[in-house]
Amino acid sequence: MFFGGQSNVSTKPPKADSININIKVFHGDKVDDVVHKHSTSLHGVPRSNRIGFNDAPIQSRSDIFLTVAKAINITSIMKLYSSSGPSYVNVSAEIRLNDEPDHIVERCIFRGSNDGDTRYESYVAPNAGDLWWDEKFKLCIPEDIAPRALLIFKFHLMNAASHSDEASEPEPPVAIAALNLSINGRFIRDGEHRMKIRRLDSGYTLEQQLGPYLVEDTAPPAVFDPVLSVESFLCSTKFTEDGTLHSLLNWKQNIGTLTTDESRFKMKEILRKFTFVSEIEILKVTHFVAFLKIVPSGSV
Amino acid sequence: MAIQANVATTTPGLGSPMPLISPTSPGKQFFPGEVPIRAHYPLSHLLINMRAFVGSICNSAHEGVELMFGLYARHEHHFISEFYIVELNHNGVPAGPRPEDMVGRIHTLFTDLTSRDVADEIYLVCRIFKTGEAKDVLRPDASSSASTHKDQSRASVLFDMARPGSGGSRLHKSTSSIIRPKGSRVSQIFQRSTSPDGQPPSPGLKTAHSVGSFGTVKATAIKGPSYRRAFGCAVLDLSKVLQETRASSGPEAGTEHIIPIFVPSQEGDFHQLHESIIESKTNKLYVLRWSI
Repeated sequence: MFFGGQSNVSTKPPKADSININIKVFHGDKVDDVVHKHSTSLHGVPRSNRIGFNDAPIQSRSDIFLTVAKAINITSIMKLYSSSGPSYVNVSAEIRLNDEPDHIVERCIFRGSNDGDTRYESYVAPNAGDLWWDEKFKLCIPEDIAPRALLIFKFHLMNAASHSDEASEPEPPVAIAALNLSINGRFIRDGEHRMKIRRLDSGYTLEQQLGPYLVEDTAPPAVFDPVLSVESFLCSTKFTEDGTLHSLLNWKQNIGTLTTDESRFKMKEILRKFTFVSEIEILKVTHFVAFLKIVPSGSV
Repeated sequence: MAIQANVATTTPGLGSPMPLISPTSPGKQFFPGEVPIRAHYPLSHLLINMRAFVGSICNSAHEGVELMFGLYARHEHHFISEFYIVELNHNGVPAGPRPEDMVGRIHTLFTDLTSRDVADEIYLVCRIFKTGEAKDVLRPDASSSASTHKDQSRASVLFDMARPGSGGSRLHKSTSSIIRPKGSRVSQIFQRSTSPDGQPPSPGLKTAHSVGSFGTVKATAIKGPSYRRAFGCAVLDLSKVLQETRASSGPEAGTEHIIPIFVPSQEGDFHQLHESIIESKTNKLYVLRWSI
């Protein structure tokens, strides 16, 4: 029995009946105006924002939503703990810099609209050798950090034997997975991302093993590889996941001055592809459009 | 070494040179003459005010409860809002040094629901977790039990007893297919407190049904790291609420709702519990009921 079968706490079974709530619905195209109009009810009420834009954004926003979906084929990793496997698996996520992996970006992870932290943590019971979470959290990272942001997941195995009544140091992670949030400065595409899960050697630190992971485990995972599946959704007026739009917004850094035939050809290619960029994707970063005015007329 | 990143999630005052209008704006034209004018439906914003958590899922004073409220779109199979997190202590009252300050303030505004959202099926999902020390929270028998014990004490705290007296308050039961026992204590609370004459509940009723007390809450220190374990889920269909209020002139006093809590028979199924409740696949679920 877990925890030696003895505990000084009550063993009465848990009971839960219901949650009682009151709901009011308000209408208006601008939430600020609605709050102002109904200030008696809505002043100071924390907002839980919609995920995504319902229309062209009128406010600056830079949220990255990540859903930890599942981890599959992890039986071999879980059996590291014991022959019976762990009771629970803890997965924690944090943002580091891919060029400085020992740097952790603080207070950039939000499990809820009213909750900010340095780490996301979750606990899940194994289900037939796989782990299923379907839990969502939000990242808010500054513009200068976003191109170097590295999302690291650490796996801890837990069961009764690892926790006594006395407080103890948390056990080291047994496996990691990592995801670069940007590729060549462009944000990763919305949708599912599958990462290999790498077993950690207890003789080395996580930072020492992270480098080889980022180099060696970049290929798509094979069928039987342990895989962590994460879904991303970018909701930002600062970053874009569209390669063409990113190239256009950063043409000066990428192409330089339009003095050579090669640079002018590159710019023409970007503008040709730009016609296929979706309108809503452009509208998200409309405040950048003024930037295009600096392109000299007649130079392209 | 750590890097501080304090970033506002939503920063007003972008300072765009002109109003932004898109083809998707109802009733507005981005390219005049190209997009037909449609009926204008303003966005809807949902104020959720938590009145009470009726239950006792903690086994010790070192445990707590975490509730995560979010909006779920059935047709899109994903959550369309951020989550609002409520932390309660083992007595079921808001965790923190001054829980009395939270009375009537456990609320959030879910913003920017479109006419399409209102037309589709939107659900309020509340995921329930136990929090606390590992020896309490991760115990295999610490989570769920379907048995009913008559000697079970009840922790039910009403966070806001002030009921609107406008007569516009209505009682809506959950649309869940689970049949709940008539005349349960919870139902009585709301039936009596929202009487047709709109009178507020009597002090006697308040005392009779509020087991927890803000005045007796003591901060309990957790010795080790805090853990979180999935417990159950509650789901409310918002379609009727949203569509009815669109037809009405204003938010009035709001509507009261009692949402039953379901617990998965297999803890590994927790991630899809809300979908199972929505689809009425309740054969693998059970709702913990109080003995009457």
